[in-house]
Amino acid sequence: MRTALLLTSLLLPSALAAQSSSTFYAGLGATWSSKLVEDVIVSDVITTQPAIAPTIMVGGATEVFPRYDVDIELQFTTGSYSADTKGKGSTKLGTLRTFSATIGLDGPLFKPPFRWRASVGVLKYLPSEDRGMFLQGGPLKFLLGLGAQYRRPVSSAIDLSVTLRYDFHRFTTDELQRQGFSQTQQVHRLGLAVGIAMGGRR
Amino acid sequence: MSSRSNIILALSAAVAAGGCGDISNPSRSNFYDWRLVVGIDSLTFHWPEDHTVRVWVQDTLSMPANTQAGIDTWKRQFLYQEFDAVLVPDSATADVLVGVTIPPAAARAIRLGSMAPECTGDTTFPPLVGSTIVLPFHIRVVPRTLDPEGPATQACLRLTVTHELGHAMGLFKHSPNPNDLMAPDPVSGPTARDRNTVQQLYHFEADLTASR
Repeated sequence: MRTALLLTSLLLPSALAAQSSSTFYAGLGATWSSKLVEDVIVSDVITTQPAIAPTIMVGGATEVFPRYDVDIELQFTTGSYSADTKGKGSTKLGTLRTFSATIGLDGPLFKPPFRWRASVGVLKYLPSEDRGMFLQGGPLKFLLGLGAQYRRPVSSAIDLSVTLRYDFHRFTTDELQRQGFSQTQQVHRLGLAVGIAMGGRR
Repeated sequence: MSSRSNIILALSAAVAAGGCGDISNPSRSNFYDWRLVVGIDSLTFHWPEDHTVRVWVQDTLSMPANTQAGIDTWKRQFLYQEFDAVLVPDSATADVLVGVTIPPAAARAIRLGSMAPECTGDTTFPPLVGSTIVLPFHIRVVPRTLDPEGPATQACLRLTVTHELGHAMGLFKHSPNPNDLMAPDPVSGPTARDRNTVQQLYHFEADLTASR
């Protein structure tokens, strides 16, 4: 997985740079996630949720219609996650990383330099330890996303970009299902990243 | 199609996808009583969540590996890391002593035993001092065959030490179901009933504490 991410990160900009209508962007930021699971044992209400996680994103877009681009975006988050028992405190459960790959369509939002993005893709959970709800490993989930990006030129070739991302998936794990959890949890994530963008329309 | 229409369409799709119900936790209603009966009281004990239980093991008959496997088995029953234990080299600081020649904890110790065909086991601790269990727990696992290193006996030792660790975790009663790990003569496990029981135990308010 890491090798694929690295290779894609290295190859994507050069591949896109070969086309004059292509854009490459990269950013650093943070991602908030809603709860993964809420559980009740005896009278304890336990909520498991990731902390706000530092995020790296890279993406590339190429124009397919006038004003509209198709893009590929990779996102990696790493942060802690914990189980909070209502009224009793919190237990750190370890580090939870996620890797997502999405393909999206983006177009003008209101007026330049704002653009919207709608995407689909996959999200892989990568826990630091196969334990608890991740005893049988981290799941791979289908992802839907929306976003917006603002670009402002800072030099002749480079733009400053501010990227806002929202995505949604339904969460469960093999271990949760084995232990009798039914249905899945809707998980919403919101991310904000600041970075650079090169090429394409300005 | 305008960009605003695109956004509304995408938002509608996301909201529609998110409109289903949330995850539902299991009822965990299938469990057995774990409490220690003292007089007319039924008492609950479990290790505090922030305490890593220190386990010393006699280095014989693959007991360290068997005990580690038992600890790992119990840790796997929890979703939120309510229980943790490690093997330690110093018996003087251990919360639990495990071995084949470990004597009972006291002459009038509280004893919880198990008996399988190839081996027996028991967990003892001294009579309560008020609401306190005086540490350490003593776990003794004894082979009953002429070939204690044989696979059948080793499997028995592993199962039995896991059963006895269950007692040292606070499962002070045996399960009435013969398939459960905490049955008096365990043959396999842990089962979903063992898991439900230990999960409930670790979210129940403890009546007893443990100290040296």
